[in-house]
Amino acid sequence: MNHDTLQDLVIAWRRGEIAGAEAAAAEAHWAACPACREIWARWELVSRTVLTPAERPDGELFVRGVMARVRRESRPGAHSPLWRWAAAAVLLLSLGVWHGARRPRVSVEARTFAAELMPATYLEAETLDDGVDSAIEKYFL
Amino acid sequence: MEEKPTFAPDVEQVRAVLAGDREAFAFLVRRHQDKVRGLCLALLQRPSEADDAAQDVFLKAYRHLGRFRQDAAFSTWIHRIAHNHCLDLLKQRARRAGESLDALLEKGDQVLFFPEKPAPAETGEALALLGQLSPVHRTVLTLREVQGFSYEEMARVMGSTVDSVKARLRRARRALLEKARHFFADRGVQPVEAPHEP
Repeated sequence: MNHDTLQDLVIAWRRGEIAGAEAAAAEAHWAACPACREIWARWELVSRTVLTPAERPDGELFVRGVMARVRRESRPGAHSPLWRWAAAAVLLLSLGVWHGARRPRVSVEARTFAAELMPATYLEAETLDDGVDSAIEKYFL
Repeated sequence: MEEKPTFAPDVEQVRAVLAGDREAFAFLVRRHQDKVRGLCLALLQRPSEADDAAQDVFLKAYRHLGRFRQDAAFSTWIHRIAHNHCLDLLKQRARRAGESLDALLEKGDQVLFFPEKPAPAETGEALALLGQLSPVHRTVLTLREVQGFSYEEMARVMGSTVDSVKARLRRARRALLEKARHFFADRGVQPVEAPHEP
């Protein structure tokens, strides 16, 4: 085991993270290595300074901020993505059925033939607004 | 190290919220805000941005509460949301700075640390030291040393394996000691006496 590995083990051992053979190796090394004892002293100092929970005196303000946003939300799960997709699918289906019911039952061949019979200017003007089927409907029916 | 929260009170409150008691969510915010805000600050390094991010994290948790598996720890779940949310924000910062996320995650991020205003004196030195580490190292050190998470919990939060978490923690400790060299210079740190029981 090289010294870097043993140094890592010493910190882990001092932090109570390892047991068994690894812990025994770390303990033996700790007793024999002044450099690792210094590393540990440094670690304690830096972790006390850098790795400590910060004081948060504005905790209730934070809670109020979150809850104000929560109150503007619907109940969790009430608008799940699945529900939204289902609603969109039903809406599209309904629109399709409604539109299909409105369209005249004209075959593609009849539609092409009818469009050829209509004056080009009329067809152009009408299709700009409503489409070919609507133009045929207005002209012939 | 702080005492680990137990699951039961969290699960009760989650059930209450799902049953329609929206105000029960305040209990969960109160209970976990310090740690979530701490992780957001460690990752983002800007106090005001960290608090906004932490609010967003709780709101995301509220919206997706139905997906929380009630046999797991709420604390791990919300920390995972916080971790992913902050990584997304860092990605946006990296994009603005013309960096890739991979480059960002592995390096100490001077590029990502743009203090908007001086941090309070008591947190300034700590933030500056932590800010010299990569986001991955900041995350493992915060989860382990500040929040007291186990390796398994850390792996769940980071979407990683226990072995990978252990290796990252070892590297993060070395990196922090290395970056903190100047910090020890004026403080005359002496080696402690051996042998000494942990």
